[in-house]
Amino acid sequence: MPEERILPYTYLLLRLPSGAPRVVRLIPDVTISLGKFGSFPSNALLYRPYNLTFDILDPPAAGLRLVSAEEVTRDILGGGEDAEAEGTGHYDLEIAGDSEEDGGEVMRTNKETIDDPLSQKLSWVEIEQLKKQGTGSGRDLIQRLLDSHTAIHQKTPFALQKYTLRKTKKFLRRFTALPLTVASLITYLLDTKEPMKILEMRNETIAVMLSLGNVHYGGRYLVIDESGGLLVSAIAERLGLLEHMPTESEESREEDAARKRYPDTPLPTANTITLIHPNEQPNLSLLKYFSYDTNSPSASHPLHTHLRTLNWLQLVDPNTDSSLEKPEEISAETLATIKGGKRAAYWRKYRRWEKTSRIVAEAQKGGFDGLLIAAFMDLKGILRHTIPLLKGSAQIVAYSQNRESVIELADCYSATRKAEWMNEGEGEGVMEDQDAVGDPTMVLAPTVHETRVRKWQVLPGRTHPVMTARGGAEGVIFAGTRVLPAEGKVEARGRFRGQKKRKNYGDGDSDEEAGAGGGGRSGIMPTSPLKRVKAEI
Amino acid sequence: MPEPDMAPVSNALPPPSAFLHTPESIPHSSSPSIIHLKRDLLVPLSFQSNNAQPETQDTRAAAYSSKGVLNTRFGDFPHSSIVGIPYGSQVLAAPLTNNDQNRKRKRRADASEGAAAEPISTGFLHVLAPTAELWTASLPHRTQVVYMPDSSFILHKLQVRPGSVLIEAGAGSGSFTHAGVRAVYNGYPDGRSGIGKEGRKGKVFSFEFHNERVQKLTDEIERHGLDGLVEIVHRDVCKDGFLVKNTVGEQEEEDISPRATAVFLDLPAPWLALPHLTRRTRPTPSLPTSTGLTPSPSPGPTVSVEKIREIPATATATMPPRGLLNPTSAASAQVPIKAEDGTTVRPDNAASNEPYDTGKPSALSPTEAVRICTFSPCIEQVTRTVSVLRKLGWVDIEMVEVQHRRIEVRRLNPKGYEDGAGPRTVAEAVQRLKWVGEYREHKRERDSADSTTNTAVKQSPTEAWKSQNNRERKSAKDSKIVTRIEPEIKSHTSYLVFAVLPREWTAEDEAAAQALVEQTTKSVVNAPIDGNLKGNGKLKWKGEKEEKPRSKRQIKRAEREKRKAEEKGLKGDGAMEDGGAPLANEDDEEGKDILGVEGGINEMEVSE
Repeated sequence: MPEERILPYTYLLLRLPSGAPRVVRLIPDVTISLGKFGSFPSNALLYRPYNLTFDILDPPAAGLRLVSAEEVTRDILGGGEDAEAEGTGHYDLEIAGDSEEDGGEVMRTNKETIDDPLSQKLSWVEIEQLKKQGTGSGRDLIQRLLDSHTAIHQKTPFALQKYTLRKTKKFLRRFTALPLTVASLITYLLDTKEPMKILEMRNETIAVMLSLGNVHYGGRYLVIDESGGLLVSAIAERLGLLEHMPTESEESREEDAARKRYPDTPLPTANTITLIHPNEQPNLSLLKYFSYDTNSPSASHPLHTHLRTLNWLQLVDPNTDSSLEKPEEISAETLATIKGGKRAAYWRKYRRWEKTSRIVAEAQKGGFDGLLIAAFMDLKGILRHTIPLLKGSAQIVAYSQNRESVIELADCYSATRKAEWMNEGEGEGVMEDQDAVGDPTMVLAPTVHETRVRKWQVLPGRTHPVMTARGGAEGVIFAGTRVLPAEGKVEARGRFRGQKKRKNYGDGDSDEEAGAGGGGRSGIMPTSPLKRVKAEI
Repeated sequence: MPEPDMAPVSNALPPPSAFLHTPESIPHSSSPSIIHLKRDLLVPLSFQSNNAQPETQDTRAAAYSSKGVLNTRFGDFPHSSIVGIPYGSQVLAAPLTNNDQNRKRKRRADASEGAAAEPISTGFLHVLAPTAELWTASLPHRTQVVYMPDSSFILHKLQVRPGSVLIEAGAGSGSFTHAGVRAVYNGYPDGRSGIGKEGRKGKVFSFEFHNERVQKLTDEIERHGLDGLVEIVHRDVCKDGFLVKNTVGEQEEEDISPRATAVFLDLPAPWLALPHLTRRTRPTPSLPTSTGLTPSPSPGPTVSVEKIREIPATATATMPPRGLLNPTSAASAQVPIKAEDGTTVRPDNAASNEPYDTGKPSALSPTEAVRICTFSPCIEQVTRTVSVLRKLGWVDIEMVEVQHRRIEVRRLNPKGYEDGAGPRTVAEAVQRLKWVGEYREHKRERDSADSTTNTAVKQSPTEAWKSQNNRERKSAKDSKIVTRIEPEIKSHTSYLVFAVLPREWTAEDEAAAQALVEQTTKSVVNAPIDGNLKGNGKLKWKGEKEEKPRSKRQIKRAEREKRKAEEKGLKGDGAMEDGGAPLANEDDEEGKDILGVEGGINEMEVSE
């Protein structure tokens, strides 16, 4: 049975009382410092389970105290569990009397409360001093703050609770150790790091992409990821490729010898990710959080064999790529005579070529089960080159942080465009345009999805949606299905002509709509609108 | 590490599900293919064998299909033209045959709109491989289903991965079941797919208390080839919990735990099922009534504790209108919730609390954190669920709702006057207004001149206006792209409550972990904090070499040097290096490495 423990050299996410996430790597025998919240020895977390909350012990002692779930909940509620038990009603409401006229309820308000910065008797200096010598992981300080607040009696229970919670968030030296998963990594990156680098993809966006892309164990996926490896990690998580015992420590990267041999291991044919990247080397920096460093990959990591990368040049025009030129073959006899270093270099070069050419050949053979894209680049050009590599019925999912580019892409597969393309015939004009999608009939039912999760605060008597949420890019997702158009295209075209003669515009209940499936409404124009207008006039 | 191991599949085993392994071509099987007729018109259809009547899941699909031919308004498609071709293919309709149905149809069509029946012979459809989403879209809905925007987010947040064990209560139409099994799948327990790794196989335990739905779902799961991956249990979980029966020998025997790592509750009263999802067979004691942080005496209103206790678990009264829970179960389920609400009630009630039988194991995985999601449409259900979750020791409680919209993309090609519509621009409107004036003038002139002079003296303003207005319409590519939201959006599906139950951590566990730490590390408790790093707001770790910023060139140089040093060491080993060094070699190397590391530690300990 799998056991969830914090293992050495893993990355984990520490959530502070303020909600701010911190990512740390758990190296044994060091001290982890959380700034004003104090520091603790890393060994105190080692081999402990995730999702637990700890108090940082006060300075003379070093270590952590496990906080029970009850205590955590109590401090989150800030003393509101009485109202919680009541279930309904705001607990600023007070039962005033039996009189029916006023509803029997009186609202306690802040009418009497006077804003006075002097109501807190503790000075800044005193607070700093208390923080230094404080005990109880900050609890004493908070208690002192409450005690020395002169206007505390004027506060409504609601206000008092808020005040307590605010001080708790600020001064309680506590954290929760969470596993670093794709979901928690996204929250961390969106909150604290540069969200632009991950194309401002939110958890719900990634989730929808994985579902629409039909990502599941055993499939072969073609991926274009310009989010620093976030999409790749999300897919890898769904393929079970991130489960890795990070046994190898920093120091035991001595697997270089093993590394040299890796191209010879048989590459798996299922459950793989093939990444196409625009630069010579892929940017998969985020994979480091999952113990996979693309610069010096550890051979024991599942991604090592299940992730293949090739660049656009190798896919589109492999003949001009120098890395795909076969190195000169040296016969075994001559090889035996040359120096060891040179010989090793030769083999290294040879194997690199072997590996790259195998990956490229495999990618060009196609037959992928799905295509997932998160890119800055123009989506149309990407699809033009990748759609033919997909199996029939494979799902296509593309994300862009600009909805315009997704919408433009969806339009390329609209019924009108399909009809136009079929009328114009293959190959002419349309195919030559490098920015176009190519054959639009290869994609069925293009849809554009927009999804957003709205967070709520659930506290006793105070349940409401959170007041602010992240703005920024409202990325949308394109989804479609790769289909294999029938051979008899001529026939299909004939049908359109027949329709044109037969019916008036607006009679959309037809086969064409069925097949094209685009955002078509009834007024689909079977021929070039130009011609139609002329005929009409 | 998943190693696809292409073991020859034994003949006795059925093929793996088409949901998980798309076959090369559309097979004769009980598994459905999705017939895409047009957008949002999908029909699941399976092709049992050459002669047998195809099995369809609902009457709607049955209506399409008769005598080995799929009849649609887009034409007739003999099954023989579909079976055997690859998935995703476009299939053209067969030429119109002169059978009864078509004659009838033709007559009908002739009567209504002339030659409309003629093009039926050239229609087409697409045959798609089944996926959880397509299945949901084409599904015969027996209940409200969990749609993709919700299910995807739930599975993501619940950390459902290959090898997870998922409990689903309130299986309903099986929509979430299909999405769930896709996420947990990592090979069949019987190895029929030929892939998968050692260790725990992912599984979905699906609970449903509606007998008819259970029957249908069981049948469906079997036909979809998902048996062994999904276990459907006919059970009222609020009453009877989540333990599954394991048949030992002849008669049904012993309750075993599913050992779930993720739980999804789509129940009208999820809080009634929660007491069955605890680490211990007895729920943890409820919260103490006072906080650790007591403010100085505050004259604020104190809510009377008595009042709270008096709120009974009127499960039947507050039940949302989904009516999944039958009254008897609710009545019996009142016992645990009452114990929840009144803190003092528990000791008296504990003895009669049958669900907390100490002999029964917990339904949850004992060594992992368990994540839960409840799916409730009403806010009252949420507050109640959250309150119970808090009492039962769940943490990280979060509530969200998913808002999803589909955007329709269109080309805006506004019609002008020539189409009988209004103006496209202000200029056009002005032009027309001018014409109206001119025309009136013209008409007056004409009328006055009617009897005496020729009417064709002056060009009619209408002609002029028409020719002016006769602008050439552009191709579709040049008109504007516009978007709108789908006609009907699901503005609210349900509230999703997420929570985590950490693994139980006892004093013994802690001692064991501490011992393990002492064994494997240098047991440094208080390493000095690196003064240089202090105060920059970043993480500071003593001894973290990697943190030192190194340029790429530096890294490369270091690597090169390392390699060189090694090559010197490996001189003469070149012969061994080439030619398909197998994995075993690597493993050996690793083993040595680890041994080396351990050795180092031992030395250190000795020296200390």
